[in-house]
Amino acid sequence: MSQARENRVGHFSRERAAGYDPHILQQATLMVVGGGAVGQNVIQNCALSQVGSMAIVDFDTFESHNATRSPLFPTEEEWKTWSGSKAAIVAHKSRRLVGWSKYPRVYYFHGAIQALGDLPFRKASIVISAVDNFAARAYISRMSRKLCRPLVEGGFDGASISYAAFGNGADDPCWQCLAGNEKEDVLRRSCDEESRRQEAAGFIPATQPAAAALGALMSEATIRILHGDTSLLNRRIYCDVRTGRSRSVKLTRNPACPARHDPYPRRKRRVETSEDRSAGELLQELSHQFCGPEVFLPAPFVMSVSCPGKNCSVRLDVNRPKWALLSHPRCRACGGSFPLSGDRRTSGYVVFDTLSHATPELSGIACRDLGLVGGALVEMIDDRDKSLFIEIPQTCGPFSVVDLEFEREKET
Amino acid sequence: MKLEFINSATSDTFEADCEADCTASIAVQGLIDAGFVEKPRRGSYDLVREKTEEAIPPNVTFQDAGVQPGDRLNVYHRGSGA
Repeated sequence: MSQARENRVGHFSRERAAGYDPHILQQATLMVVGGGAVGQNVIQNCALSQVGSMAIVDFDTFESHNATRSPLFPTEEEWKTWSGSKAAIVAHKSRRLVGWSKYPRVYYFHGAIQALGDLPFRKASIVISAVDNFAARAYISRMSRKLCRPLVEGGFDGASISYAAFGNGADDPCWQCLAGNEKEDVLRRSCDEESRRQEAAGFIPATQPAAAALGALMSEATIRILHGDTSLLNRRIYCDVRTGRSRSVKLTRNPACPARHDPYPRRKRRVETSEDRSAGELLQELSHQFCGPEVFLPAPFVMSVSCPGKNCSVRLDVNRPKWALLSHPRCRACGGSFPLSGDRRTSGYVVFDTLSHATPELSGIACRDLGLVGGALVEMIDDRDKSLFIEIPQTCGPFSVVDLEFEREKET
Repeated sequence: MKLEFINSATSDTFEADCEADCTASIAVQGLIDAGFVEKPRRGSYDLVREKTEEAIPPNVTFQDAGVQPGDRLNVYHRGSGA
């Protein structure tokens, strides 16, 4: 056997002895949401453990204060190459870490997870939530539950770390069963904004050992679940990295959980109207098959609001999903960027949760802008209250792929 | 009913008289107000019944969670940083 071949075979010998099955790992697709301190440690562990594919999602950019907790922190040149994008940098650096192997295939998306719809959840074997705001955690939990994907999520505060694994089966608890009605962060914050806010509140940031310990525990939980081990499902593990104390706690379903536990529709109908067509065209297509179709939008769609500026309150056109608003929209005169609405009605707050013939205002808007993106499974009812999923056809995928061969060629 | 709360970080204990219809989140707020646990900087606290090792959801009452007089409840910090 050549030295090179011997080395390749030898790569897995320790993992096999520890109970990792390379075949199972290589069949797996992980979706990791959040490329911060915890996400990077999970990604690094799972890349070295040779999972088959990883999709990495983050909307943020690297900032200098991330360096001491970021094993994949970029050099100045790398920062410039990928414009500081955490998703792109973490994807490329984690792939290079295992340049000796064809696994994992690494994909990334620089943007909010809510923009992707159902598709990445449908493709994932396991979803890993490493985000630091309540709204994103709740969204990831809801989508994982909707598509019955196991979810591993964790968080830290100083030396205190905890993580949980949810099976997301019909009778399982979900993340929101235990998180309850904590106030959802209405606005997305960048890491920098969040760190300034936390510093002002006396927050003790996690150290690399805490992030690495949490990343290791979450990675091992992910790998155990991939191997069919259910012993960690529906449990939360609390640990203090300074004292070494840890405790495993059983999670049970909360009958008063604010998230949906009713079953989703079983029926599914694929439509022809793609995400770049208008909502009106989608409704027209649905009307040929159903009476009075009403489509539930994946997120509330804000059509207009009143400017909150002092003595202003002019009506503004917003036209985007609620999750996409980084701050309360303001008019240009009040320091914002939103245009005045041509509609002069006094009440500015117009939000839609559904699309139907009773919402003609939405008919000219592209399906994509309403969150009806390629691969999305969207619930609808007809006038007999029969519910089903409609599936928006997939066009081009939103993910970029890391191609090491191409980069090597480019370098030479 | 008399309940004993245990701070999982310090092992300190705190005895309190709670109503059966008190929810976990109200009890946690009471523990913060009493200075038994610090106001969480990031995340929140979970109450866990020692006897069953089951977490009590924040909006569930002690009665609905099956908490009995004299029960010991562990207070765990659930961080939300990432």
